[in-house]
Amino acid sequence: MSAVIDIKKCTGCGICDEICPGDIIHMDEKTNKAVVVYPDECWYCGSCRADCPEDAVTYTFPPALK
Amino acid sequence: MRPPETELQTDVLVIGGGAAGCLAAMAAREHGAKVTLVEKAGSITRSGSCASGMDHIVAILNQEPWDTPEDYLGSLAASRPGLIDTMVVEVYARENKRVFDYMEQFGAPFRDAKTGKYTRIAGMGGQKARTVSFKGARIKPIMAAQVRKLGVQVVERVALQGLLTGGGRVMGATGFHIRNGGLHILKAKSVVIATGGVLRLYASPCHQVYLTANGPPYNTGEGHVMAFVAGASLANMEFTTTSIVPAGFSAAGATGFLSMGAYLINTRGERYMFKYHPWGEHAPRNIAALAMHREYAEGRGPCFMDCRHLSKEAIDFVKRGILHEKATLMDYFDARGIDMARDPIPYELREISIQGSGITINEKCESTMEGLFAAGDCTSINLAFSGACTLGFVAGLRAAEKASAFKGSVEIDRRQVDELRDMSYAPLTSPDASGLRYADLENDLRQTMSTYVGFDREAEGLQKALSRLQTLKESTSGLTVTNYHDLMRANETRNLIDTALLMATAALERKESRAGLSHCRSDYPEKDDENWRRFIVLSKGDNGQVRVSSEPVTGR
Ligand SMILES: Cc1cc2nc3c(=O)[nH]c(=O)nc-3n(C[C@H](O)[C@H](O)[C@H](O)COP(=O)(O)OP(=O)(O)OC[C@H]3O[C@@H](n4cnc5c(N)ncnc54)[C@H](O)[C@@H]3O)c2cc1C
Ligand code: SF4
Ligand code: SF4
Repeated sequence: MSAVIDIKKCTGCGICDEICPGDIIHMDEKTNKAVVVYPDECWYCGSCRADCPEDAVTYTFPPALK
Repeated sequence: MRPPETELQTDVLVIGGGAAGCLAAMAAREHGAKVTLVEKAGSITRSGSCASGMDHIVAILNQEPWDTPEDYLGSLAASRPGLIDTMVVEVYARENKRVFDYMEQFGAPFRDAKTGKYTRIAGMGGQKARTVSFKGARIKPIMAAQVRKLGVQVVERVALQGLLTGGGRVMGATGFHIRNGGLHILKAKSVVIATGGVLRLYASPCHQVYLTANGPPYNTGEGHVMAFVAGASLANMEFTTTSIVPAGFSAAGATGFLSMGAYLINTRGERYMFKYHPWGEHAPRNIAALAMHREYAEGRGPCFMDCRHLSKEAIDFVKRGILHEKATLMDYFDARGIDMARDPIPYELREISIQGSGITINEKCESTMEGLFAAGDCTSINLAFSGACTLGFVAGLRAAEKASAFKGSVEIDRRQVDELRDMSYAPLTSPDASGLRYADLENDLRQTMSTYVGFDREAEGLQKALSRLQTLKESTSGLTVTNYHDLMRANETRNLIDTALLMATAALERKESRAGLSHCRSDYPEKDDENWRRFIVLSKGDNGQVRVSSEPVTGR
């Protein structure tokens, strides 16, 4: 459960990797695409989506409690 | 292989680039000091509590007869039932407008773009419309741009782990780069700690430990612990903050709903807040938490945030607030099929954290240690975004003055650097590392805290917690990681355990109940002003143990 990156839209600009406050997203050196490396540690702050120029970020949510 | 080493020298070192740290760096630069700001996140553009935005700021603007520092100070006792050092709050109230105006000058969008006026509302814990509501989704990038424009040296992805001291004063700090592991040694004439509150200390019912409302889950008490270890004192460590949050998604935002007139209702549809406080839904935040706790405990849960009676304009205003503060909450409502105009939103008591518990500061935002300053959520005074900015600015200014008055030379003791390095790199290098994962150790910690140091505390449980926490502290030597991201987390775990020990120590000492759920002793259920209207102060004793003392609360 975390931010999710649409690999088809991602151009590899690296902004999300740079600005994520939790070091959750890293650029994959081989594919030059953003990868959510630590999904369990995502704060859902929304910064990666707000700053992604390609609209490549969406979110999945934890299962409802009630 | 030893990681690379970087040594930097500066006048003022600011640790943590959130709200308080950014304003501190600006003020120190404006004063003419050489300033280095060290942040553990990837970029100050989106780090700290206001990473994804702010939707309101308390301000004292002299626009109305009541809109004055005096009136604000007069209302303090009613709106803040905890213990607060009024000398420092007076400085906040006096300096607030200056810092607010300064922020507007560099582009903070506090005014309505169409009318050019402020939108003033009454927030939680206040009946007067002291709060400015604004579209702050980009407030952090704007603050970061100003920091860079002023020529502050910004060092990112470096997690500082300890202060360097000499001759009874602070001389700098050291820590490591969270991607390449490089050791960083910062020499400074004065230091401002602005590392925020402490999250991730208590269990999360939805098992999303990192989905925190009161601050980023990456704020883990590193500033508290480094100040304490260096010799500064801490206060209010027994008091916790609890928020009411949408069920299943712990996010800030209750202020936006309640200031627009949303109701809190229980499962019977009753507006229950007036049973607990004459201000109803405008009651202070901790009363709102206590009230919801009781409603659930007495079988009237689930509780809801009810917007069904609100006008379309009011609902749009609430939505706008969410979009500028925690936009993903709207996605969550969509995913759950919640329509605010139609559905009461299930709410719960979620998370316990600490803000306003920490480094004690005086009117100059100086700690009890020479040359060490602090501001924001890591101090013993929590005044949210407004306080972090205002007192951050004061701290930066005073730290710059201190630095220019310091005529000695900054000497660091290499043994201190080596000790701190060995401690922080141990999970990667130590032969004792036995495969223990930080996530597992932290789960044990949260279990202990929620069971014994949560809402209903009592002496026996707190003693158990202390012995359990001591065991957890000893087991940190077994923590093992294989990369620098995880090394950052393992160090966070170590700091969380140290913070927890301080909290449990202070909670055991305070033999009364105070401030709603903030400190609720089931063996001492009453408030006892005669004996306990005092700060509990923690400092490092000569033998390295925690020394507990108390100090009277002065002023109002
Ligand atoms: C989502 C959200 C919305 C909020 N909305 C409002 C609002 O609208 N109005 C309001 O008044 N208040 C609001 N608050 C509260 C307010 O944001 C905080 O009180 C305030 O921003 C705290 O500022 P700070 O500088 O003390 O801490 P933070 O802004 O959290 O900054 C701490 C910084 O220190 C860094 N750091 C931590 N440890 C280290 C280390 N070891 N080395 C280097 N760096 C480190 C962190 O990465 C972080 O960037 C909100 C809080 C949240 C979480
Ligand atoms: S910001 Fe968007 S385009 Fe850039 S790397 Fe991240 S996901 Fe890809
Ligand atoms: S939502 Fe925030 S914490 Fe999560 S990956 Fe995006 S920027 Fe990082």
